Amino acid sequence: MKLHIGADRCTGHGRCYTLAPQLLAEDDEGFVSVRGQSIDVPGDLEPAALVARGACPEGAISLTQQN
Amino acid sequence: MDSVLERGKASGCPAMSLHFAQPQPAGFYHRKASELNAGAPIWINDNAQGYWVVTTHELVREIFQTPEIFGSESIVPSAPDQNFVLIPTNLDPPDNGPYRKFLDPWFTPRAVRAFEPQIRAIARRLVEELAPTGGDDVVQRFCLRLPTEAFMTMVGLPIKDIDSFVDWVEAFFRGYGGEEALARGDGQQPEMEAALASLDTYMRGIFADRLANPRDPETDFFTALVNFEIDGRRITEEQRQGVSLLLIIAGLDTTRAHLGWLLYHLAQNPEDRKRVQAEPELLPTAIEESLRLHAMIMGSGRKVRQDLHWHGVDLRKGDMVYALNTAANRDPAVYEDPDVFKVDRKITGHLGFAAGPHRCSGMHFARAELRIGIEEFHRLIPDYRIADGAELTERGVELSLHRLPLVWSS
Repeated sequence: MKLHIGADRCTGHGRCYTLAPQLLAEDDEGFVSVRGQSIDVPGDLEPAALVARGACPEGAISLTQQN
Repeated sequence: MDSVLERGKASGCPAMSLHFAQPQPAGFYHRKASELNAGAPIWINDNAQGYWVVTTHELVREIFQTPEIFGSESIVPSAPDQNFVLIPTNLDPPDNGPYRKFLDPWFTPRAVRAFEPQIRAIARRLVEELAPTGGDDVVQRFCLRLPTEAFMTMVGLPIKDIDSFVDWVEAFFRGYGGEEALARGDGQQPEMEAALASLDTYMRGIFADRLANPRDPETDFFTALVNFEIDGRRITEEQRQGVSLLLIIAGLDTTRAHLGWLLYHLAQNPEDRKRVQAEPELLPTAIEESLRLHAMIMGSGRKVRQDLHWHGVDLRKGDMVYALNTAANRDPAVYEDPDVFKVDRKITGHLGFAAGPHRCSGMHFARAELRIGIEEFHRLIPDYRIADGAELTERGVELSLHRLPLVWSS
């Protein structure tokens, strides 16, 4: 699974790193540190990725499954 | 076919006729939000000049995320020509950008964490004074005072002026959505005008002081503000007033409302209250649920910037649109049992703090105040209920309880 955070939509609510700290971290300005990037989601952290996606008020997080 | 009402009717939008500023029994406006959601995504409101009302989560979020169509020149749907300026709230991108870059660092999670001990000290003192009384109106004694003191402390305004601030903010909000005019019946709002003038004069004094006697701009907000430059030039006196007015009304009124809604819910739901006391890690989740269910911004006004066919309706430049944060937060398409307070609800994405370029700058501060406020309240007053015979009413537009008389054993 890959998690992508759209830089155009992300405005720094911070819900993702607050609710999925195992997967995402905060930067100095309160934005998620991987804003605008894609990261690999380890299998055991897929539930955290789903929480992060659901928590974003902007709908900035997308998840894609790889085969 | 010119007016919003005519175009809306032609598109099959249901019509309503509601003055959102009318005070009502507590809970009226949240129930209204749910009703409107059940009716249609887009309504027409036959009030003032006539405006669109949008209810679903999908469309409300789209409005917030599309400032090029839905501009912020006015955010009061019944007042397309707003009589006050909030900066950066009333500025569209890119103009709001430099102001957000200036403001946001003061309210980051990091900055808020550093300030938490001070919030806790204020909350603890307020509750220590309140607890022995056995009961009082917590809106006056706690909900109004904690955010006001915390905010004034954070931005370096003298606490001795707190009562004036509370009065000015109250008067501002009685006029904000038109409640004062409604009560007077003559369309005038002299108390709101007077409050704006008083705030203006007060802030002028602060700016003059910080220019003559600068403090450390890293820690003194108004020193930083008077020296803030855009494109190499200090912002004008008027622009400073715009920023100050926004901070004052956003900082003071909003958190006050949410503290009230939280205590209102917990006073009436002892199972939820006991759970958040027994499981402190649940309190942030309960707070998010309250921010969702009791969103206190009824809606956010936007002014259409260009003619557009949008989700089945014809929008014209200049139309006012009321995007309902409250209705979006109760959208059954997004939330299961949307009208039920679930203290441990898992999905927490909500529009209580809006979205897009104007999403609430103070959200981390607000969350900390709410959490610490409830923690300190429960520390000395764990069991409380609403006083018998209490008449609970709410203000419209920025939804807050006028009073919340609670009783407890002291």
